[in-house]
Amino acid sequence: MRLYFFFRSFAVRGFTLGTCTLGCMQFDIHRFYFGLVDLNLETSRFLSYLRVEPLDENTFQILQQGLFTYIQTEFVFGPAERSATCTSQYLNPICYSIDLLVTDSPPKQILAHSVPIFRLCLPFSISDLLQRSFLPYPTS
Amino acid sequence: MRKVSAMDEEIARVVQAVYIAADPSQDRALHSQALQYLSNVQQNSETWRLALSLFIEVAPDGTRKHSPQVRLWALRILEDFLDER
Repeated sequence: MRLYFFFRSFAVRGFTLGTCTLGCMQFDIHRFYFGLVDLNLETSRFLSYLRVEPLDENTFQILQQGLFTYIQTEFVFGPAERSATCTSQYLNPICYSIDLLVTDSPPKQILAHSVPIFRLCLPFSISDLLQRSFLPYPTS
Repeated sequence: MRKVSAMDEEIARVVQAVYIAADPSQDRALHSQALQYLSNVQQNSETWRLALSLFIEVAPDGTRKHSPQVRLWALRILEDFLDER
């Protein structure tokens, strides 16, 4: 996944140079410098990703289960941190932690995230769904 | 009666230390002792387990068990653990 972001960034930065109708490079020093700085940042992020030690299986499972259960109980079924004075105080760090857990996982662990992620999209089982009072007709 | 585990004792100590560290009206020596304790706890590579419990634990009434200060501290530990591995 990091690989995708890296190449996407590379492609976007490549366009910052552009060419004029005669085929020579349009040289806007500010855009070029901005693109170079950003490309440098992305490259260093990507290189640090290559050095990431995969979490051991036990740690990975505990973290994944804990964080995804938290999202489900709090944001799918629960009050979405209503008691917090400012929701972003939790949301920003929790999003960043999940981003790190998911996108910095080695390929064999990335696939393991797909099941809990899709489970978040399907919060109700069929029997649960049939018993919900919002259905306009009796189900029994 | 439930047996209190070492983890529960550690959690209770950390919670107390976070409260003391977050309260500027506390005695200065106690305040710096709490900060020192939290800093030592942060350096332990297994602290993420404790932090995960502190952040996600639920009270019997369904609300979060720990206060926002404690949960934010725990979340920062988790973030650092994932960021610095």
